[in-house]
Amino acid sequence: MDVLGNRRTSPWVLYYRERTIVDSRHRVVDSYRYLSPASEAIVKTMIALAPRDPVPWTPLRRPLSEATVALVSTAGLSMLADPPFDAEGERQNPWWGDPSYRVIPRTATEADIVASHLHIETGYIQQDLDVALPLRRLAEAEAEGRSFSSTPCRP
Amino acid sequence: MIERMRAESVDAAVFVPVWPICCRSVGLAQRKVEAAGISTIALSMIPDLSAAAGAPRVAAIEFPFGRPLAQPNDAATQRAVLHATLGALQDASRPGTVVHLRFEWPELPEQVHWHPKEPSPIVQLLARDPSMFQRLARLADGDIPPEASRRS
Repeated sequence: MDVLGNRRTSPWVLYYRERTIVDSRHRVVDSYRYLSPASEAIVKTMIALAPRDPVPWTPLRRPLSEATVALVSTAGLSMLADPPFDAEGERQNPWWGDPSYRVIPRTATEADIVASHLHIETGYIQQDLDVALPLRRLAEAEAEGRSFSSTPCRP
Repeated sequence: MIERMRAESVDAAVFVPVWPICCRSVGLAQRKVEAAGISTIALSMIPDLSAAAGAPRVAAIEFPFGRPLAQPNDAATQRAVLHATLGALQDASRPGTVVHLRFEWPELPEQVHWHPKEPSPIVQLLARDPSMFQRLARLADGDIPPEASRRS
């Protein structure tokens, strides 16, 4: 018997119970899992300083299966024929970043693009564009004409 | 960008940030696009920061920077993450909704390589002058350094 008077249970059952408890508390995404302590401190200060303005809202005007959906990436993606993003300007002045944008055709693949981003390992994107700009996955969803639900998500 | 979206009759926009400060930037961009009549969601690795920036909808994911959808060539996870994000976009019914997606990255944080081989310019600057940390954080307070507005 344990201190609460319950029968002792096997380690497997204890583990199962822990998992159940974690699930019932709706464990949320850890915003700081991949950040250094210094970066976490910067982000937390930014959160504390952020103004709490009213949040704008536009209800989705038609079901997604009938909607035109745009993908917007911040990975500094340009087509090979485009002028690339100005990384040299940021090297000279770390406070500055190229504010322009490029239009990526829906048929683009990793073979057609350059990822100019000085803050991440861009090799994964150059290997498979869909890790950051899921054009093929979106085209597949469109071809299926499917509707979506947030079933695999936690509210 | 908003004009371009209007020209293409865009109904909804999915924003995909790739590194920490992007998670704030897309929240600010979402606000403009949303106010222009286009529904938006961000697939964010720092949902706390995107929400604090006032993003209308956030799908939170605990994946490393640079690979918000999945590992390269993992089409099944990419598809599942995109579908969950679109589901959150469709089901959200109030401003500031954050939906936590139930995906687990296959590596431990110490096994993940997301940093560039050459440290970024701002990281090099912070290493030279730690007093810049506070200045960087104060960007969120509207305290924008004048250098941020001009190339050099």
